Amino acid sequence: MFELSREHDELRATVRKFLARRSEEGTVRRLMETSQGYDEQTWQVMAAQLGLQGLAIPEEHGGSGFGVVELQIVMEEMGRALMCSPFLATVCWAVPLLLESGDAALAAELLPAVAEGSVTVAVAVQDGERATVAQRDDDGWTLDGSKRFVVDGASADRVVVLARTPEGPGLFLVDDAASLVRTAMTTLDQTRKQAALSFEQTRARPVGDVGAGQTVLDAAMVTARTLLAAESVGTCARMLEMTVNYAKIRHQFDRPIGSFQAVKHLCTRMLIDTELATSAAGAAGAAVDAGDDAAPLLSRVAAAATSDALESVAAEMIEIHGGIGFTWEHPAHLYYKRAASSARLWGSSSEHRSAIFDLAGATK
Amino acid sequence: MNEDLLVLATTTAEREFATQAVAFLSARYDRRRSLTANWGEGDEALSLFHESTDAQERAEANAARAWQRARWDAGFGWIAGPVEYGGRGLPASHDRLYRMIEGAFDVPDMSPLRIGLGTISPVLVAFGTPELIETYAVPMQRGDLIGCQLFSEPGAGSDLAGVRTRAIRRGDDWVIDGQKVWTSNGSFADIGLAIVRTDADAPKHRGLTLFVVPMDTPGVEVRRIRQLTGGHSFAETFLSDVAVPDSHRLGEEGEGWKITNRALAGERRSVGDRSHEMNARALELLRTLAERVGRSDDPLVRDRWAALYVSLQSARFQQQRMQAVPEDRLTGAERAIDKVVVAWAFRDLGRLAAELLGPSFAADTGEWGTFAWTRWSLGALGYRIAGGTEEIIKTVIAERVLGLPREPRV
Ligand SMILES: Cc1cc2nc3c(=O)[nH]c(=O)nc-3n(C[C@H](O)[C@H](O)[C@H](O)COP(=O)(O)OP(=O)(O)OC[C@H]3O[C@@H](n4cnc5c(N)ncnc54)[C@H](O)[C@@H]3O)c2cc1C
Repeated sequence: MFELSREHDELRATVRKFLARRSEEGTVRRLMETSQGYDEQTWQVMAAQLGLQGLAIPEEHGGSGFGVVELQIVMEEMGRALMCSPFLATVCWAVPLLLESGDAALAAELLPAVAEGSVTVAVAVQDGERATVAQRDDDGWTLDGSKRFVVDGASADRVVVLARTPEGPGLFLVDDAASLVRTAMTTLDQTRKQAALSFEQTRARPVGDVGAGQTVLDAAMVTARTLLAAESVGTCARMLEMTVNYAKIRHQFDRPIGSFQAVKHLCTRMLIDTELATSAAGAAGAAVDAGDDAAPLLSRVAAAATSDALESVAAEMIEIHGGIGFTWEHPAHLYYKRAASSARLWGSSSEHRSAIFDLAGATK
Repeated sequence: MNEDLLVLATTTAEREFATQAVAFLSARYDRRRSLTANWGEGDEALSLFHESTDAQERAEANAARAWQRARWDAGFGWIAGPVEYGGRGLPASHDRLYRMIEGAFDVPDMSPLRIGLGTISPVLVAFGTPELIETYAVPMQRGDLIGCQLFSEPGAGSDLAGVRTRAIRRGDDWVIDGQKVWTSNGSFADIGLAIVRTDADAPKHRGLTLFVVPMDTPGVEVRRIRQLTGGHSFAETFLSDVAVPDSHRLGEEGEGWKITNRALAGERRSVGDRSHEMNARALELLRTLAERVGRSDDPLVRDRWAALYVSLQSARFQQQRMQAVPEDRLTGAERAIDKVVVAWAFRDLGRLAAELLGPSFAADTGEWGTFAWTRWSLGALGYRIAGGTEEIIKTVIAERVLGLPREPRV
């Protein structure tokens, strides 16, 4: 566990350099005001030059076959830079879902396109006002109902949808997402878009076995959660860094504010929270790659640790910045909002803890 | 079997070493059994500090010495120690690895030796003459000598550089006068490492020097102090006209502050070693306790238990992650995080126990595994203070790891 290889350092450095050019504050601010929410050209370059979309996609499907641990490095860097892109939805969630589904044909069709940067895929799980139901007819399946909180749902080329079927929950792929009625939701975190989708007799293809939807989703969530945890670690680390840098330069009472113990101790607390969350996320990543039975539990531990760290680190960041931290102009609020949103994206920390209580009891 | 312990190793050399360590340990001791497996039997083992009688204390110290001797004979007694003195000369990371692995086995409690091995021996090796190393560090590593640290004084705790115990040169000797306090192991230690003032005119941090003081030197008087848990794990040490030869000076005159800080960093590092294992066992006990008192469906209890699970797991992974970081990338204060986190976990475990026990936390019903938690909770208070208070350590971390400007010093 926790091996630090030169390749990992190099990967991190490459991604950081790329994001420094492609996701600096001005770009983030510009993209967050658009409805698309990301820069398509950057997305293309990221696939063509760095191959990040395909990093953890198996080689047989056009990827480089690395693991979750490597993808976590990428996510950490994206979290630091508040990268605006459909990477979380497409690469961290839809890809594991397709792989977990065991649907070889669909994987062979879609994964190379994702790796190449030509397709983005969103995952729609939570029902809106109308429950989403799938029905079979002579030509296949159709979907009716609505979904909301769909991350990058408005921009995605395709959508994987969880829907009720007589055989139990099933996963379905909508190939032409643009044909859906899609409404952008106003989001707390403007750097990550969410949408409401509605389905009216929408043609869809089953992903894997129709009745296995929930099982596949649960399995994919382990990976997705572990990757979101890594992104959150990056966000925390950057918030800590910004705060410490500011505490070194801002003077009051003729001293840097960072020389006041009240400020120091808050910073130390931020460091401790960030460090523990980093370790928890790293352990979860290693467990997922090793196919360890404890991976579901450790992914929850990572999620709970990072969710709490996000919230407390973000709050202290604003506090230590004082008035400037409360302005629109300063980047702190962008991080705060990402933190507040990610901390409950796939369950709150107390929901994770509830699952932990049960999982930890079962593994005893 | 024991494969789980080998994953702690990060390099090939470490893996080979870990395999040897596991073989050594498993031939002698079982893995620690889960406490809940034999609920109601045996020692509740919830004391964080020693509550022993004199006779027990001696027996515990002897068991620790014997185990250290066995480690020594097998090449695990001084893993990072210099080869010329009988050490194995391996990197410090191997030593930490060994301690993490050993934590999984039901070995004797090494706390009587911890200060000697974790704090005093390393600075003797780093700053001592060959004679000091031969006479004191090597026997400590072999389990023959027990050390204690004579740092704190009634007037100098957090502000340790304010010590007033002084040493005056007399011929080849130094004569020490003053009073030390909170001396853990003081009642049975063979030697003490004392920080004393040798230059009253020098600035506070510069006038200090360290000496190795054999505890049987005339003029050394140890009086036990009863701690709030009821036992006597520390003492006050009076030093009146205590003569020690100049050869017992550790480092140069005036170098005492620098070396003491190195020693304290060693102490903070070694706190975490055993604590992770203790905490994991305590957490398991609490789960069973929750079931037994019918609260395992209570969302409040579930949440608090799981929150502890998250912090203990994270702290353990943190320890393992630090294991993989090369020494030269660390400032040294990173590991102090462990001390703070462990102390919080001790506290929170005790609080959850109290929540589950209700009135039986405050009055003993005689039932196994209930009132014993009071010892845990009370002991937890000491861990936030010993080895530097939480407040002081937070400041140290902020300055050394985060590089925040130092507090103004007088
Ligand atoms: C169980 C136990 C075992 C011990 N074993 C040993 C031993 O073996 N050898 C030894 O020499 N000592 C030992 N000690 C002593 C220990 O190192 C001191 O108690 C500790 O450093 C605190 O010093 P103090 O007790 O004088 O408290 P004080 O320094 O008086 O502190 C009182 C309070 O003030 C706070 N405070 C003080 N200065 C500051 C500051 N600058 N900023 C913010 N807050 C501050 C502290 O955090 C604390 O909350 C032991 C203590 C305990 C509890």
